[in-house]
Amino acid sequence: MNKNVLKLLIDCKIYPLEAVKGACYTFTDTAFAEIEQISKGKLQVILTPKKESKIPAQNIRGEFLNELLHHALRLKIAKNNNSIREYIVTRALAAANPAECGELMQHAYNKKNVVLKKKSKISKVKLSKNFKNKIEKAGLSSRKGYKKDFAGITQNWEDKHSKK
Amino acid sequence: MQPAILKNFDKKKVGFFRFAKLGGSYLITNELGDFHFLNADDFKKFVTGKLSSKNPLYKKLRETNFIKDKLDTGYVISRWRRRNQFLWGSPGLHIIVTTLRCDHKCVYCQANSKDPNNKKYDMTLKTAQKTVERIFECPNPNVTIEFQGGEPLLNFPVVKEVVKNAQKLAKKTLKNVTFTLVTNLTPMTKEKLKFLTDNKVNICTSLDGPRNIHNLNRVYTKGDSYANVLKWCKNAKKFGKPHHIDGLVTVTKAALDFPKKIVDEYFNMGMQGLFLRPVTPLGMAKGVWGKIGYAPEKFLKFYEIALDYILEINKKSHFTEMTAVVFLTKILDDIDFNFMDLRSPCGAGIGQIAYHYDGDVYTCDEARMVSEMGDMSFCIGNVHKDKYGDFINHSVTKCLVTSSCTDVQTTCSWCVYKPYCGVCPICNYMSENDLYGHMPENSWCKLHKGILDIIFTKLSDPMCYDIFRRWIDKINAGKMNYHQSCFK
Repeated sequence: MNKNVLKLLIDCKIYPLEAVKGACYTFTDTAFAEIEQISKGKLQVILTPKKESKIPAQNIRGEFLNELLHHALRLKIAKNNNSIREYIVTRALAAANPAECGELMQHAYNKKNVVLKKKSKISKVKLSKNFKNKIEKAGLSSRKGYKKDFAGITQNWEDKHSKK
Repeated sequence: MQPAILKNFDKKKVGFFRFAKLGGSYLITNELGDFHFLNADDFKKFVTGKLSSKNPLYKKLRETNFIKDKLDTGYVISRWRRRNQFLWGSPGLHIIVTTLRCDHKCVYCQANSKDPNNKKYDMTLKTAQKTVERIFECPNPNVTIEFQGGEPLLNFPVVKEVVKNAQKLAKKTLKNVTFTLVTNLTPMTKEKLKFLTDNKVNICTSLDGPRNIHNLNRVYTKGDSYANVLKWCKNAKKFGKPHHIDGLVTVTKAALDFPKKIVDEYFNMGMQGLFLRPVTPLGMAKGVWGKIGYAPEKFLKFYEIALDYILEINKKSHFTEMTAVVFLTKILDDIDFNFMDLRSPCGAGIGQIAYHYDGDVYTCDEARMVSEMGDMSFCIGNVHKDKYGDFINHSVTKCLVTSSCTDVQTTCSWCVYKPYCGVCPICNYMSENDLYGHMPENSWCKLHKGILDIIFTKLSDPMCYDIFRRWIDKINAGKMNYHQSCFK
């Protein structure tokens, strides 16, 4: 048996299983990792250092526990921001009007360089006439196949413009 | 007992962010690419809600949405869209391999180049015409056509045919078309250079460093490859801006001890910068990896010395390093430089398409190189039989899109550098036989992480920050341009 094999007892009330798995996966370039359930709510992690490991054997325990803490924190951050992240990405992806996307991008670019003031509502962003014309000319206003391909990415140029 | 940082986590104020220890500090980043350096004490206070609202750091964290109690969702959504605007586009980069013939035998050749006299590896005019038709079926209003090979100048009639046809179709379809040609410059003549300049074809070549390093890597049996590159770089200047010649460096083992000499080579030639790229184990390079390859740590050591030297040069002159610039456009701004490997999902099939000399179509240039090694897994059609819709709807295209989405990558999804990075599923496939790759042991991951560690460490130095900011401001002002071929 390798004398550098480490056995760590983990309390799942403190560090969830997902955090343990995450830390073990991160450590797969340093050690072979095994996870065993000892009893309800308690795990044992067995780390066998690899020859090519860059972390000295005596530091692996400390580094692993740090990584475990970091993963547990990451899970908390993700869990507590899940809804708002889904909302933001869903709103960003699901806009029906590509022209709105362009105006919003311009709005964001302009706003990025000033201090944040109030909350803005996307519905209140008005499209300039000049910008609308540009969108029409570039053929981005098509709403065909909205549910599947609202931006017309898979549409051939000829299919889009053959009548014009 | 639960650690305090977990027990006292402030659910109401702490927004979504990723973090890692860098040096003695915590680097934190969010989905919009904003970042801060926090010492351990401030990090703990921020996470547990104990940072005083009067602390200037609190204001900065709130303005950049790390503290979410006054989150402007409209602004965040808008910026997210701006950073990911390529998702609403279609392929803009179209790589045409005009021939596999080449008069060089580069040690790291990824194109499996053929004898320069064997014309059966040339693209025919008919295939070239069909290729241009396919390109203009793509709905993207901005088209970049990049000529690759082999050595594309060896099949110059096809280059001319493509340029003329593309200009005609661009006028008809109201699109913008730009051209780039990647060449070793050996078959260049004054007439060819005049055509390329008159038609605004940007030229990109390889210059791997001083004569001994360049000629060691890029073997030209009929002469001196290095002398030839220098000759044409000087000739191109006679034709004035913007048709200068840009250079790329492929760093092999031979170059690792000479970072400053390589930088000097470019600087003394009057180039505005250089692009330091590590050699990849694709094509011929895989067979001779023991002679030319190296561990990621060795490239990172080389890179740091080179970047430090370039930053010194920037105290008096302007001179950039393109790998850093590509990352910095994402770190310091929301610019999409269209670098296909550094986006999620990558550009395979949806940002770029490669058209081989025989009409076969691939998701990207790497896919084309894999086919030259006998593996046709990433072929998505042929210009004579299929149309654009077939390429983009192909199951292989969808597979590569899925496997390059960093949100579903185990390691990438929580990596502090996720907003700036990307994966190449084809490189993963070639090195690990797996499109997703195993990031803790993945060489590309180590390289990207290492380069970003270096860049962020420099960003914490105000002098370096100012230089980097100047580089990005020049891009924004249109005063600095690197065409597509130098950073696909």
